[in-house]
Amino acid sequence: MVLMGSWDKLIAFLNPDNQVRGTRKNFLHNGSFHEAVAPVLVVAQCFCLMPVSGISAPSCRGLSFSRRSWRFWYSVLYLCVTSVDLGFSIHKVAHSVLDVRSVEPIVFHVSILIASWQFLNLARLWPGLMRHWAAVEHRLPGYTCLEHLLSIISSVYYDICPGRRDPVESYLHANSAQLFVVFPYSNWLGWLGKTQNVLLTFGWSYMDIFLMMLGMGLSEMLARLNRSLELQVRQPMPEAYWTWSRTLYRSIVELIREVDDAASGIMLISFGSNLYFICLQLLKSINTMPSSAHAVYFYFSLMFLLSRSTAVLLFVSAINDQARQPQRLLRLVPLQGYHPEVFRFAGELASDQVALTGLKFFNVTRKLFLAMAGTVATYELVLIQFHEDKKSWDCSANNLN
Amino acid sequence: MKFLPKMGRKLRRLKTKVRKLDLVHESARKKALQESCETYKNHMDNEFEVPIKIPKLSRSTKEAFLSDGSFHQAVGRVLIVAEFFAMMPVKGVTGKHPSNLSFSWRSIRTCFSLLFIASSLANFGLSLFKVLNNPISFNSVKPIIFRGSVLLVLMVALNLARQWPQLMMYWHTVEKDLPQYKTQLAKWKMGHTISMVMLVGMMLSFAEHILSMVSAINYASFCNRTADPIQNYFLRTNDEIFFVASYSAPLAVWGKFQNVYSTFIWNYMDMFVMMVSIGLASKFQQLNDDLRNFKGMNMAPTYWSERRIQYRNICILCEKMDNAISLITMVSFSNNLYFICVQLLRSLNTMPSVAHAVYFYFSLIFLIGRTLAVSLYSASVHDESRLTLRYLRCVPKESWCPEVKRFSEEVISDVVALSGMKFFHLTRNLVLSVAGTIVTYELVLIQFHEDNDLWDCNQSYYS
Repeated sequence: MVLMGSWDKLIAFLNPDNQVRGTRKNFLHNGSFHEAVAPVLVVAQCFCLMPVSGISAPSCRGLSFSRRSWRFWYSVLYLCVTSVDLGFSIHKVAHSVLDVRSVEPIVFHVSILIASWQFLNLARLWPGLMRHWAAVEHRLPGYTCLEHLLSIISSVYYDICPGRRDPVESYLHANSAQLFVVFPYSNWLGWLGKTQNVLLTFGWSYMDIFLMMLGMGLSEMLARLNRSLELQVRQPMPEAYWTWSRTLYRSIVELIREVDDAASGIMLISFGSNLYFICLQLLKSINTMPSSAHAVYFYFSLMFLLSRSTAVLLFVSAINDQARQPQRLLRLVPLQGYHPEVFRFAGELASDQVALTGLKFFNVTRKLFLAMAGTVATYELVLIQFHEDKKSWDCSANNLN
Repeated sequence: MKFLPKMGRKLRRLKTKVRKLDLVHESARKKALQESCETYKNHMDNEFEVPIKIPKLSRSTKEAFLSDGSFHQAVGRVLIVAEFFAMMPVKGVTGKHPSNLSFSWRSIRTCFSLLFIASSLANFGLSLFKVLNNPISFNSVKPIIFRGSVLLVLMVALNLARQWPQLMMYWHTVEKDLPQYKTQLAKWKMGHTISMVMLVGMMLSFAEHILSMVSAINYASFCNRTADPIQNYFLRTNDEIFFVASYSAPLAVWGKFQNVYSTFIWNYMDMFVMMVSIGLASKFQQLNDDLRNFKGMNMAPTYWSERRIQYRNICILCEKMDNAISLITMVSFSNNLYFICVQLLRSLNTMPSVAHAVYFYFSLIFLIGRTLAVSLYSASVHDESRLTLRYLRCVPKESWCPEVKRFSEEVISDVVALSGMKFFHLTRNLVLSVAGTIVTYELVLIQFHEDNDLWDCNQSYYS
């Protein structure tokens, strides 16, 4: 529908009778999350993820999901092709020695496959989720810095989207070796493999972008509430104000839980695969580089991977940081304004842990950063013990890094 | 000043009236209490009586086949299977009502169970003897751990069977108080999940046993010591018996019987923990479903006190079940941990044949899958018990009362979960820490690993 819509616009533009003057309203953002994420989701749809119709509609009421739309079948086709590709990868790996490095394509394919399946599920829940989101957003106090959210989302998006420089992309870039183990080389098959690689790599980067986006959207809502609280806490406010802020906080938390139920699988896949690829890349960094071009490329991609993983973690854990902020603010309430509602609010804040989770196994908070760093260090030390230098530079191992 | 004594007299009269009223009230209250006690007693008696009075030959109706959503009914068939394998010798597990349950030392089931325990003990002794006569390593103690844990579980199960009738009666009283299921589908769900878990688990374990037999036959023909292939097979699978005694057919059959039963019991302990967890989680779910229906509405304080008492009852039930089965949970978790480590360590070896490779990877995946299933199902009890808090948070200001406050504080501060002998609580965090532990031990064990001694013909074989 997006393409159709733009086609209509193009026709309208070309036809001088129909030409409508663009008003200022068309170019103004209303600051809603739905509007902010629209471009990101449109790009995702080009790469077969998130088959929801009506993403660029002016309000979230235009969103819908249907099993009969071409987007849905496009995604299903993508899933099928990825599964076939996974089959080829397994076939290839099974014919060589099994170790941490050789399973790389399998890990890569499996994580993408699970993630795209999760995205398909998420697309089904997306319209309901966005409506709930809009309802909560509607209750929030006015936007003070309207462009803030939009600008951050788009900047992150443009920074990260050209995922070409990813280690895995380069790894797959040269050839789709797993196909040619089974079939003789042919040109069209090569192109097919290439397309598949681009889609897969995009999907892999997109997981992280999507999570950052969710993290920003949710923490921004909490931040808006915090800003309003900060202005009011020092004065004795009426009880109704506290009821309002408590219920508002509660509805944001409910939204976070709902988003978590829908997206926690993607979170687990993203963190798991990032951990694996960081370990792998660090292990490869011990090798001697054949040329300085290789070295530059390699360190660049490693930095990119590290910074992307850190960014996901920081943006998502911002939710937890922001959710704990009101607790500090409530301590400043003066005696005259200390109602039973404030007491209840403070009690709830003290005992709840608000954060997105990885399938409920771990909460994404800032503490996780150190835990993950520790894990990477431990595994790295052990993996180094078993490391042999020449292996990762072997041509038959089809590895360009 | 005249009206003062008048007032005094009136006041005195009033006082006596009040005293009389108090007395009347008191006696009425006593009577009411007695009555309610008696009706309760009668009610309980009736309930015990009724199921016994059921006529023997009556045409079964549709109701007889419909599930009433009780745990007792859901686990009936599962326990029958266990009884067939010499565990849980309780009478009346398939009865309609838990009051039909009974345990007696003189029943044939108990004798069978005791006999099997004795036979397992003998087998355990033989394994111990064999292992102690060889150099001890992480790998070679495997038969002792396997048979030892089976023996332990058998004894715990016998002890559990003694408590089972009371536990089920308590379970029944808790279930009766809970908000009732609305549809037949909701009643049927828990029983269905339990049977499916049991069915799938048993099928997979059966498949594993068949594969292990195939690989053992393969192996036996590889290191054939005698001309007879059947004898070779038994010499291989029951090496602990024939280490002491010379080969004879009855001993071989006994060994085979012991193997099949041990394998079943080893699997069954995980199934049992899962079963109890599913039951407890579904009771919390029943309560949560009711709370969800009234989420965000203005409810009377009595509603909340009722729900709080129901929640408390389930918590007590959870604790009672935990006390009864925590040893089984502990054995199951530590066993899984040990066996996963051993199997992962073995995966480094080169496989002698395809049959071995198939069996090996199947059993490894089955083991990991089963461990994951046990952990997740048992963590669901904790998850469901925490979910209640989410609904309590949405109570509107108008109906926020001390009862709700007390309820939510209790939910916050209590940890409701099954445990492994109180050493650890079974929560979702445990899954990650167990995975971390396995990886760490594995990395250490790999350092001491030598390839060739695992598939050697003199090596003890089992599982």
